[in-house]
Amino acid sequence: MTSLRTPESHPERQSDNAIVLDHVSVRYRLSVEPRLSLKEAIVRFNRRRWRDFAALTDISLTIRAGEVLGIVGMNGAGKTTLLNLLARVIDVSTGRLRIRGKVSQLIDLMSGFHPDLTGRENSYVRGALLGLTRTEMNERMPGIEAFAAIGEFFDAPLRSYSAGMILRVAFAVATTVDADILLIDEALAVGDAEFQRKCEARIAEFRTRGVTFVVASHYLQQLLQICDRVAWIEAGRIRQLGAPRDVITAYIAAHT
Amino acid sequence: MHYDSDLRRPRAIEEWLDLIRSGPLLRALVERNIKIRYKRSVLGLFWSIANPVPMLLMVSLVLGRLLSKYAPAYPLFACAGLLPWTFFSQTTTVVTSEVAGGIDLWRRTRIPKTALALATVMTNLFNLLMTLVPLIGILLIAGRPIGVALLSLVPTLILTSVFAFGAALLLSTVALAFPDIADLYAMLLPTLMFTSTVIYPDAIVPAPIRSLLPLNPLTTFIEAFRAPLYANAWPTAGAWLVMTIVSFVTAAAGWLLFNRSAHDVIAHA
Repeated sequence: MTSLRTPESHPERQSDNAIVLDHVSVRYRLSVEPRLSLKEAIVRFNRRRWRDFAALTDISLTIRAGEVLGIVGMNGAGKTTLLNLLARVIDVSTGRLRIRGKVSQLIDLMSGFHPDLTGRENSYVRGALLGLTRTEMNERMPGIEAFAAIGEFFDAPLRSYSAGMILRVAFAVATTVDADILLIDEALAVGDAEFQRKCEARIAEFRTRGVTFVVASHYLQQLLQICDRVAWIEAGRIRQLGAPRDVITAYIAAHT
Repeated sequence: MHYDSDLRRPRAIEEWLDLIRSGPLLRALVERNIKIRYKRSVLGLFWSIANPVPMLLMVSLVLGRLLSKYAPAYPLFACAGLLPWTFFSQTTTVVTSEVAGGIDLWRRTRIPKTALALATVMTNLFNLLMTLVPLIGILLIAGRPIGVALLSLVPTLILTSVFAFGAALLLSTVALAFPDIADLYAMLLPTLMFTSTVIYPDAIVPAPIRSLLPLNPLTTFIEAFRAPLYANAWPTAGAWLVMTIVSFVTAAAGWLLFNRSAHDVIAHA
């Protein structure tokens, strides 16, 4: 994965900023009671009580085009919220977010898959969820099938797959998208050693094309290898941002 | 593609712009829905087409002779009412229970939040059209008069779809806050059915109550659907007016209310 650290190969994209977060905050409304039924609401004649929850607070961050930014933090620190924000699954509450380029996500490889449909059929649905048209998917399908390399299973219902096979199909579809910015959430460690190498090669290929990466992970060693910078998020704020070695060393020190 | 959060439009407008660009997604979702139904059972697609059949047999056996004075060829009469009813009730039920169950995709992928509801409407519309083919065949074999009035089914089905989409969004808006609306709605469905003219002609209802039937908006839609199939007649001008107003007002209200609250839903996770 060391081959990924080649930002110099794309000087023309260096000057562009792919993502700019300007004092961005995300607030959720969390219900204090877990789930209130309509019946209870009528009987007790009161409204659901809400509590404001600051998932991200005052995040300012500029990610350059072609950069690999790692994100570390404890569970619940706001890593996934940040990725969801960049994927525009959720909105900023305050502040300003600007994104230049097409975003694709390797977040949660499984969503949208149905056990009764075949790998091929699921790939079409998944591709549509990622914004690809039918024609585009038709063109890519041989490549997806070859990359997944699960043989006849590709046309068998997903029910009959092993977990590793499902991940292979999911990764093959997710990486077929032409994205300028790829968001990755813990998805790098998939499959056996051989498939792992294929994934790394595919990511390296994206890297040489100048794709920007935002990678949230607990695999600190991997982040150390692939990232240009690392952001440490704690309780919804950026605690430290800088060179991978500095940030990860500090992060490890704080949690041991 | 450039995005700037400062240039966001109101959510109801953003959602509309997203949805009209989602042709490929809608197509994939509808295909998926149809395939899933097709694969799930031995009877396959036939299963969803056959959905109104047990009810049809039952009402024909129980009520057929009793009502034949008011509605000759009663099974055809009932069938022409049960088809749009099944379409409406299935669409609204499926969408509401999906939303009540919490839609995982909303949290994980950037898709228009109304896309799943619209895909359900389109799937059920497909099923309805599939059921319409054998029905028209039966009408021809039975020697019933049918003709160009059948063309009225096109606008009728469009308006019924708009109405079902709006009603589904309104119910979904409630389901976002109170998931048990799905159960409550299932309880209310028979009431909705029996207060509209799905399985009986309005002639059997005593006059003072009969004038109340149009208060259930479904009555107008069902009568408009039935007119060309059963009576070889066009829906009345009044029916068109009512259907247009009801469907678009429902859809607009559903759209605005749903978009106002659906975006907070990730927060419930």
